[in-house]
Amino acid sequence: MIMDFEQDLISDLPQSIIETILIKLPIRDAVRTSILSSRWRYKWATLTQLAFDDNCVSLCNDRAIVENNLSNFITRCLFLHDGPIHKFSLSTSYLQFSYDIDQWLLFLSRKDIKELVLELGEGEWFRAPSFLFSCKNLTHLELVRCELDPPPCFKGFFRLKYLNLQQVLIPPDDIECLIASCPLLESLTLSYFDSLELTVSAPNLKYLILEGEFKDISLVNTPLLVFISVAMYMTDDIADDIAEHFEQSSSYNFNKFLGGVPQLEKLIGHIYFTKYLSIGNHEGCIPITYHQLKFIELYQVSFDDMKEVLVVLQLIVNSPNLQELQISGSFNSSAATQQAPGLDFWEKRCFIDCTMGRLKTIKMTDVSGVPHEMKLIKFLLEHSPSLETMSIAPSSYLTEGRLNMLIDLVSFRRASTRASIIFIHEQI
Amino acid sequence: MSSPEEKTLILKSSDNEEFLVKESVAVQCITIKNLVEDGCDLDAIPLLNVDSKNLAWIIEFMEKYADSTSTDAEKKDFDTEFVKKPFNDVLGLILAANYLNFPALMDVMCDACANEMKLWSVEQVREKFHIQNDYTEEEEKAVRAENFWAFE
Repeated sequence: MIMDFEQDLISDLPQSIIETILIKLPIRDAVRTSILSSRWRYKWATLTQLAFDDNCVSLCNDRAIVENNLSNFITRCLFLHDGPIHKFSLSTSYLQFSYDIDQWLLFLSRKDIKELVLELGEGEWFRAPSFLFSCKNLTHLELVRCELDPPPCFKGFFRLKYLNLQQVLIPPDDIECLIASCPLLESLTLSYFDSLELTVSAPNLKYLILEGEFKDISLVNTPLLVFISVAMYMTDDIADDIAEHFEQSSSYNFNKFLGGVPQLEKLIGHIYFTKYLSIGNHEGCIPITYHQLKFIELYQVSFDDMKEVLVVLQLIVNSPNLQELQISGSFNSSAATQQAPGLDFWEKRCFIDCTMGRLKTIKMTDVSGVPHEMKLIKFLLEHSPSLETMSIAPSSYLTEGRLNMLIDLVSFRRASTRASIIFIHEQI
Repeated sequence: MSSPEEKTLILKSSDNEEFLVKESVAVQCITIKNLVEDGCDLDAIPLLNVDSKNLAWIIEFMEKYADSTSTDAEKKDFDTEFVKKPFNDVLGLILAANYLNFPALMDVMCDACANEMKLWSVEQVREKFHIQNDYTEEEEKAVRAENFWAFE
């Protein structure tokens, strides 16, 4: 292409290309292109994606001034905007609830908004106005530090596929209704909720991420889930309460949570997750085989608790196509030297006969060498004919007993001739 | 490992140079994908708006992105090096990516363009793009007043 030296390189390009470039500029710079030439005056004004943050305005020490300037910036920007707005995001530590935000949502609900991200600052909670619930075409909603109060007549976001709520105050019944009223929901993330009891019914849900204090979670209609990640915090009081409460119930948390997810491909559990799953009666065997489950990561597993170990074992044994396994232990010094009860369940038929034919990589971390933990390692080595690597990292709290652990490890039989065991030894 | 039925396409640049590309790689360009799906049985696919210089780069990019063994980090490093081209070439690649409808390349090149623009003053933007400022003094004042909140 021979370029005429004087020829304008950009102003004649299709609006779609100009828009793609302008969207990648900070909104303030995009607006400044209005000064380039008369043709550029309103090229920015038809952008369908707007992203605002604290960088839109100059910062100074006076918080009130910054808040005011930012609010003004956004209002002016929206006022001059022309055409639909499909994506709006606001991420600020300065703005909290204000009637301005109410107004912006009303404006956006009339502009065919599809993706909305609101990340507000600490302080007074923000009560979302009913205008949020008039954004009928939302496909993507992300709220941080807000309060939600769906009006009684609210029927749901019929197009919503992605929902992410973090530190959001919402009555528990309403959150269940909200999820159930979004039939196309594919991805759900809930973080930093307190004492939430939740039943999830979402026929199209594929990705579920939960983090917080949950009293009870059951998945009743989630047949398409492929990815689950749960970080479950529990104070000790709650843990005891729950254990007591559930001793009387006949349901097994494992089944309540993982009983209806046959398509699961990856499972990640943090903190009290395995403890939570272990609560309840486990007379019956697990009815479901996870044929697609390839990756399991479980953290803070308490190997002193026989029930937790059983949960881990049942998960592994019911996942014939498992490829990678990562388990980190939870150190409890008082139990390290005691005889662990219930070592005989290892001899059960269903465990002895199983073969983990695809398991290639195992990573055990924070290993403290308690009997059930060593039994698990032995079990894995004996039943994984395709194993390539097992890495073992002892807990940094374990000062004595490393040699015994190594002695045991060396004596274990391996089903795989290619398996190498890597003992990660850091100088204490 | 390529299967025996792995098809190779011939892509012809506007200056008549021919390039061999695997079909599975070339269909990252939706324009080419549509041609193939519509049953185009020409010996070579003519790309009238892409010269050989740009086409060679585009093929380099396509092959990197089609490689399933390259990690995200490797792709990022590749992108960083790939965009280190004279600005006119960056624009040329944006146009070619648009013509071929190649979203990944479009994204990377527009990112590079925007990253350059962020560093420039209004004058520099006009200069680099050869934009003729046709505002009168009054008009320019009016625009600055309209958007004063962005110029603060």
